[in-house]
Amino acid sequence: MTTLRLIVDRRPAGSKSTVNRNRLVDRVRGYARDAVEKRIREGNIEDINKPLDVSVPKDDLMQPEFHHGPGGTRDIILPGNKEFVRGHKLPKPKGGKGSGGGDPSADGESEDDFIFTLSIEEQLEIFFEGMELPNLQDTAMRDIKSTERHRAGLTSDGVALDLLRSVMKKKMRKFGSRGRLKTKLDDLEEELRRMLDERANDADDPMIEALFKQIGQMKKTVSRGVKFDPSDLRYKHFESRPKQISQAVMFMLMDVSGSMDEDRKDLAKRFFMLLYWFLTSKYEHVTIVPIRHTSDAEEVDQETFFYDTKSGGTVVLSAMEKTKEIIDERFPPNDWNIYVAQASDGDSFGADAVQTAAYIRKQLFPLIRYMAYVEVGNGSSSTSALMQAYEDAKFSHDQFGMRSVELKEDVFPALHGLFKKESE
Amino acid sequence: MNTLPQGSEWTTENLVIYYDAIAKIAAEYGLDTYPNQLDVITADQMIDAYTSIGLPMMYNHWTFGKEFVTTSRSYQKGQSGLAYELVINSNPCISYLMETNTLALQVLVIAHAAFGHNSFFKGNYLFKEWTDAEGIMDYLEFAKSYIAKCEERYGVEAVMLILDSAHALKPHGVDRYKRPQKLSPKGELSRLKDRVKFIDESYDAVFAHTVDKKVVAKKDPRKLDTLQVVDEENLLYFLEKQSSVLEDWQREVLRIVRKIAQYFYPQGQTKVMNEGWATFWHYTILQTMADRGLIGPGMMIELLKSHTGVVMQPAFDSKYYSGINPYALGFRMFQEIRRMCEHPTKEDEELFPKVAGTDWKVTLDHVMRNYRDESFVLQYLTPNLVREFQLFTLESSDEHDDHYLVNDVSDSDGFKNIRMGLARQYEYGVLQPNIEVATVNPRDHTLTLVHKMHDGWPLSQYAPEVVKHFARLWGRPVLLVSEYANEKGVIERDEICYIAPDE
Repeated sequence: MTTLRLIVDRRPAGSKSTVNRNRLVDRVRGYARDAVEKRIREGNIEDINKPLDVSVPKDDLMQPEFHHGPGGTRDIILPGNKEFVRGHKLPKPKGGKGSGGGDPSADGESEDDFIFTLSIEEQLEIFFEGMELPNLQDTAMRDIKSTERHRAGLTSDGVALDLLRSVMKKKMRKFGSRGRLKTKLDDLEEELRRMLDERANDADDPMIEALFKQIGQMKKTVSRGVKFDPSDLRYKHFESRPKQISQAVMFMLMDVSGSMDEDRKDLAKRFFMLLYWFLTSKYEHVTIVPIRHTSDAEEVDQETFFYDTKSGGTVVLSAMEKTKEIIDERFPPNDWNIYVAQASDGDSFGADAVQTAAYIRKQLFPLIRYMAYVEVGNGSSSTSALMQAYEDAKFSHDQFGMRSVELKEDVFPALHGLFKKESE
Repeated sequence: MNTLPQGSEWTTENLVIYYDAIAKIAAEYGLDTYPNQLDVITADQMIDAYTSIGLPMMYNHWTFGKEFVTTSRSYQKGQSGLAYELVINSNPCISYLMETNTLALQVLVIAHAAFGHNSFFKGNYLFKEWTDAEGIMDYLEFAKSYIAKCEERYGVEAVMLILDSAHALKPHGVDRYKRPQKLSPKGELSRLKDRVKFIDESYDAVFAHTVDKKVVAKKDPRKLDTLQVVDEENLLYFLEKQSSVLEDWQREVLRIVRKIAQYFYPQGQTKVMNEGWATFWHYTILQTMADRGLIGPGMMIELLKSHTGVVMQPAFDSKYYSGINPYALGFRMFQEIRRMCEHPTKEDEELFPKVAGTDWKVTLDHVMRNYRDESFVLQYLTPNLVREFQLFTLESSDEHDDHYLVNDVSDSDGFKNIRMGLARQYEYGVLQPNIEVATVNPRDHTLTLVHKMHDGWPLSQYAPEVVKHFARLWGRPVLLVSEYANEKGVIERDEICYIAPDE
């Protein structure tokens, strides 16, 4: 009697709760954002790698319903009487919690705030919401040949029937002839046969699949007796275009000279780490080029950049020259969106600052989309040499942003300000 | 008799072997069931199912996200006996088997859900009257699709707002008395299918809007001279038909919510019976299998342990107490009926003459089919059980606000009162406040909702929140009053709140 259909394995389908969970997170976004920002402000930068508990006041997630409240006369039946006799008086506990007659809460569960846990991805997404790489443009990926078919409007004759638009047209015209539609259907089937003949191995060509679907739909329509006029029919127009992606490179320039003490280096690293998280969580094709400099500059790997110690003199220009060198070698501006982020205490000597500013204007701006400068730990009341030089240079706000950071808590707002979304 | 496969791991093969053995015994006992389907799922999927109120194709809503989090947290904390059983009232009847269950547990779930619950769904009058097991899955699929399309068309936010309000009124969105059915379940499904197709095809927003407006205009109730007396207890039904501020699609959403609420209405009214029935049968079938040597002692021990956990009733003053356990009460009640059939005492013959000495299978079947929790307890709770559970009555009243009064205990004098008191706890008007649309003022369309008080029980502090939702759907101010008879027996009304929809 038992058939194979008795037991159905649903496990491969996975859990469906993602959509509802996303909606829940949306609903309590404010609380989630506060919790994430607090974590970044107060904790270790690496903490963002751990799940985070967010607490939401019960009222904000309340699902009200009509329930009975406490009061009135009620008899409740309880189990487990050991010693009471008729007429016994049981003292009411303080706080007036009724024995089952009251309304525990609107949604019937605990009194506590509602707590849920944000995954790492969710934290990053919330954290970097409202931020973007400015002036990002589509570039072609040079080494990979890929094209896509794109919709490019409608034509009144073609192969891929846009049933929706045609139905609209028909409804507006309100007349047509079944005969003519049938003829069109014949044409389409003929076309399909021809396409299949031509590309015998391309049965999964999306064009052919689309055509199959359209014919199927049309057949259904015909059998329902909908009347079309050929002038009602609209066809989707396709074009082949090279596949577009946004490819970006971020140069991270960190001053590791003697004047950058541990605290300052910490601020700089914090900034770059956040920048790194921002880029990798939001963008698919971003390359990072870490460069550290004292009186000369070297490209290093990420590990070294974030964790190694080095010290020396200061020549900021060296970092800029290194950047240009690498751009020329590996990142043609036609194919890459180029960005530069620099962190320093602004302490530089002699003409270095002014020369750097001039170099940036002449050599880098023509090639890059945007540069961000963060000055760390300049507690004194006077402007640093570097910042003065940048100010004097009057770079366009479109291409250059500058912020100063004293404390840990300032880092994220600075980053946020430098990469704020255009529309906001 | 050969013992069936033992061990703790289940396989598809040994599940089938056990299923067949259970089915054979169930047939011997005369259990009539829908065809069965057993779905194997992960723990996460189980939580999914739980939080979409046990329906696999529920529409999306943020509250289900919240339920999911709550349930998984308590599951992770080991708190919830995340029950191993979840079963859908449908044809075929779908039972969920969690992949991490041992073989013994799967056997228990099969007996309990696929035969116990299944036969109850098929046989009990409330289910037969109010639900359509054939069509529910299809209906849900289309409902989910309709709501998803509404989200695409009108935005997730707009749909969420309507659902929030509909959910607030859901417990009061059911019919408890039969209305003349305009549409059969098949008709209902067909109608919804058409709505889905309509949204699909009428792509032109302008075009669709014209149609929506036409339908709304027809329902304008402004042409009334006198105060319209409504007396409608199904609040969602009322709003769906009568509100003049709702778009067509919004009415449809209300309709979907109340159709689903209606589907669950019998569950709320038969908790004790349904769980009791399923527990009785898993116990009886497995015991029979053990008697016939089909189940070895090792598995039996595990089964009994699980069973005992399920039918535990902590005392009122225990920290584990969370109300009368329907599994415990229902199971013992069905066992008592059987005992009275097979070995009646004098007391039984006096109090239950129609049961004592009869064929227990026939009597049990009759009870399952024709009662609901309230009448079940009123008719069949025995003094034996009152003593066994040590039931007593505690009165809480405004008159003596520093203490509770023990009114009845489990002696012969107290039996009838306790039985009546317990039965009343399952009465619909006790579980839910009685709220109706009373009247609509024809001039300004303000509406009065009346709460018919039960024993002077007030509404909870959240009542105005619910009225806000109602007002939003009605589009005009709403007055909520509580109605009661005073000491002289005269009907009085107290205003609870007056709420205008916010702009």
